[in-house]
Amino acid sequence: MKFSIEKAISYSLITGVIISSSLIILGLAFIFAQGGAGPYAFAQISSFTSTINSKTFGINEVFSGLRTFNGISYIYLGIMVLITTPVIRVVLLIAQFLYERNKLYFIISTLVLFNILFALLVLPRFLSRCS
Amino acid sequence: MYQILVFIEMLVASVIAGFIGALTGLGGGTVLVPIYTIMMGIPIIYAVGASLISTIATSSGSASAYVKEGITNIRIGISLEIATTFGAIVGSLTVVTIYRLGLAYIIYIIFGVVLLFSLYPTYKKISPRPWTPIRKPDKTTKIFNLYGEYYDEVRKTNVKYYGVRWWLGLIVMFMAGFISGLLGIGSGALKVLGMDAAMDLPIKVTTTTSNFMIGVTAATSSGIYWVNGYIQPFIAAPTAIGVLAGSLLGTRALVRMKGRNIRIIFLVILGVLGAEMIFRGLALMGWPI
Repeated sequence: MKFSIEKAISYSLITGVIISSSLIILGLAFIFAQGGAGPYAFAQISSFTSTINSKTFGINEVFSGLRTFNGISYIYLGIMVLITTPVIRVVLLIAQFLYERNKLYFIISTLVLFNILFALLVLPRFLSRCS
Repeated sequence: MYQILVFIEMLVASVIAGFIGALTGLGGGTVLVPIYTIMMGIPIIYAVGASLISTIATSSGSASAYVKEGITNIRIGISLEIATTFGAIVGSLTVVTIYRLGLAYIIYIIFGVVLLFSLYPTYKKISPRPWTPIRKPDKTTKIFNLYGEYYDEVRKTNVKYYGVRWWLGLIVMFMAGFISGLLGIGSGALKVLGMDAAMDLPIKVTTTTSNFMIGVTAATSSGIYWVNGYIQPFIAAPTAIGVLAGSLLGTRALVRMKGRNIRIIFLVILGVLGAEMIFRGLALMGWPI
């Protein structure tokens, strides 16, 4: 069977979106069932002016909260999975251009990946150190 | 109890935004942010944060169908993403600075202006014409291999097409990425403008290719939004799920819908929302309106 990048991209996107939506829905279910998440009360989480956000709820808390069924952790993990779906899409494209020996487009897609990873991994660290 | 009602309200608003966004081709975020900020009173940073996440969900959720159909021109998409991702970085860093300086009203005004300017390319997208060459292939056509083929439903045949002026497309795409990072939307209308007006690509190809690009652009901004705390879990969660569901419904409805009138009515409503955003921005700035 011929390797089809379109299909690979398509399936990876669908899988990513399904996993991420399930995690987000699971997180919401935990919050509703427990009437909050971890130390936070429901009213604290659900207020529009809530101070619980992606800055105050750190990445370490996201992963440590998974074991204690913290709903916020599951929501954030779902969002992280969602963010990686376009990244995986670009990685698959790089693989395709490498396979086709398309030098120009291999360089172009690698540059795009560099931009995304720079913005996702390097810049945030730099910014949080500055503030 | 009140908070649960608010949650349902957000979910319903998101489904509606996703539906109208898909139907008009503007994208869910563009519809969502005015509803969240003006009608529901959600702080704009949480509204744009949730909108950005929903944009990724919509792009990944619906692009899988488009990529399968083969209308998307992946080569053209990725080559322009150099500019959109770079623009997204500059845009999201700019918005962080704007909020830190307490100048949120600027975002309301720019949002309204962008929304109004998006209406024309969106209207054009609603009435697509079969592709005809306007300019001769230039150097960039050959270097970047901007050729492609798609099935045209009006002519009932495959249409071969090519793009020109890649560099001009790149400039417009930088702007599109900038606006996307600034406002937390996909800025699909600007992307379409870049490929349609600047590069002479067929509207059908530009629409699906821009949808393919939106997710990558939004993912680029998301890291900077994340560390600055724009993503509130209880707001982002129903938004992502709702907009995704709404846009999938909208895409299906679009296939069955023959008339353009409903979509034009929605565009008019969006025009009003755009004007509202500008007025809100001016009021926040201290204008007596």
